[in-house]
Amino acid sequence: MEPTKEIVYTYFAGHATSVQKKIIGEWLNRPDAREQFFQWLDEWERSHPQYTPDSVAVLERLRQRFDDPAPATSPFRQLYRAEPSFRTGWRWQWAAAVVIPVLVAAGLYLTQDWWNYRTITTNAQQLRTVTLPDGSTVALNSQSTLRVPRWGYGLLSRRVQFRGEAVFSVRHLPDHQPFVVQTPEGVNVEVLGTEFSVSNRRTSTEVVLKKGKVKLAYRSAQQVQENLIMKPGDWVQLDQKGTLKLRQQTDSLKFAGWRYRHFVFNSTPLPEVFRQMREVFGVTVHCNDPELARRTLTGTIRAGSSDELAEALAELLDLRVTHANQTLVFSPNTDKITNQ
Amino acid sequence: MSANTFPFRPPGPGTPVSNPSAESSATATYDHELFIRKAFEQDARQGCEQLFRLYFAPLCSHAVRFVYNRQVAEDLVADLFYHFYADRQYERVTGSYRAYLYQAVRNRAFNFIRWELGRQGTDEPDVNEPDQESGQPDQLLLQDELYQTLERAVQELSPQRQRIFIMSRFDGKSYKEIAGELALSPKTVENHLLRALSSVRAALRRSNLLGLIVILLAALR
Repeated sequence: MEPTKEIVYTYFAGHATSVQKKIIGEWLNRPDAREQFFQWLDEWERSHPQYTPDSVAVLERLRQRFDDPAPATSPFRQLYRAEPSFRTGWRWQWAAAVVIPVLVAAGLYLTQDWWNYRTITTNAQQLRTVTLPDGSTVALNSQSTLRVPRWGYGLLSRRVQFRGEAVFSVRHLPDHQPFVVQTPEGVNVEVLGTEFSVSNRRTSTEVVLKKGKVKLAYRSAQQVQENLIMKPGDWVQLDQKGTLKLRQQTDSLKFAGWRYRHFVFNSTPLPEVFRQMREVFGVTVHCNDPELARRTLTGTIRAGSSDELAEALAELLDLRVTHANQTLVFSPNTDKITNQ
Repeated sequence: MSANTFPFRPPGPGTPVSNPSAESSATATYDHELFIRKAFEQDARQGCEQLFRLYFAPLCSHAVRFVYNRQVAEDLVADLFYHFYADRQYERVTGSYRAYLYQAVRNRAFNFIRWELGRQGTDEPDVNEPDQESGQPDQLLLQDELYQTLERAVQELSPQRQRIFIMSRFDGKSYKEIAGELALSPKTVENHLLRALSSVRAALRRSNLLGLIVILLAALR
């Protein structure tokens, strides 16, 4: 049975009954129906248009595309340049409200070392003497790292983290506040006011007490927390397993001999001397007389700090030295010149 | 280039595209097919342009029934004509150009909605593949069912929502423009649109048309 054109039109408009649809379905199974179907569809579409497009403009664009088959922009892509959604806009703001604090927190967490600690490091040549806020000093040997808390140092306790080799000269505070040196291995050297050295290199930790009294807290080979009270002259070595060796070190001259360095100069121009001073002790050296730059120095000087070396230089070369913070200034000794 | 320079100008007053009523008789379009076939024998590009003049408007009108977006519809049809010429698809047409073009537009429009409503993956549909003629009657019926279901779903929207839906999709107006015309906030406009789209989506899911057609297309390959 063949549907009439009117029935097919009704069907196109979406008003066909189920019986009409069945008839159309059966009809479409016939081979010649397809052409008829599309012919009627075309006619129906022309007599019931949804709208009339601007075919002239589109044809013009199509001709350009024929002439210049440039990489065709996909219709899907150009059409879906999606409008900024207010909803997703809010979503962005929500996301930002969550993500930014998380990023800030992560940033703070990752940089917490910098925020929490002032870190002083010495390289292979350097010696440094650091004065802590409470007036205690730490003389660092080369390749050592000292981390001093930026916040709360001296408020309740004085704790520093340390790796390498150093001599600590700890000031005794009126409130008997302890000073604690922590090593990465968990050895704590707790003192009240004294002078001692700590050497914490790759294999072991050594503590030598020069004067006063220190308490050494460490984890023994049996993983038990142990305390040891050291007397002056005591030398203690702790290896990585927690085995402890104690010895009375009588030769106090040997105490932290590394603190002294021999500077050997042989007709060395003063700028080079100053450069070595800068290099080893990390101080800034100024010389405000160009005349001085032409002078040279010969001799061997044993010095444990920039001040010691500066005084020796001043004496040898008859100069005046002033120092503020980490800056040394050399100037000709004017008094003596006028006396001469 | 003006229409007068065409070697085989279609008969009838005016250009067929701008005056669709002139094309209402079956014999007229059948004659067009003959003329265009001759034009293709001489110059494929001329034939293609004639075909475009004749069928662009009704094809767009038909595509809009599926995609509800005049810009998408026009781009789909223009893209179809481009590939029809550039990929020499006209050489492979066995039946009438008319049947070929309508079938191809339906397939492209269908692929578009599947891509848009599914948004499964970011792959855009392969627009050229479905241009092959597939005379499966079941597929024709399913495609008819699809555009009719879509239209019913749109009709069922509240008048305000329907209006916003058409302004946004068919006219391609922005939220701000619609909000200005209807004195609403852009956010309200967006809410209407999102709900309209989810209603349409739900209607399609209920009728399961997209799924059926997907299965059918897969079976045909």
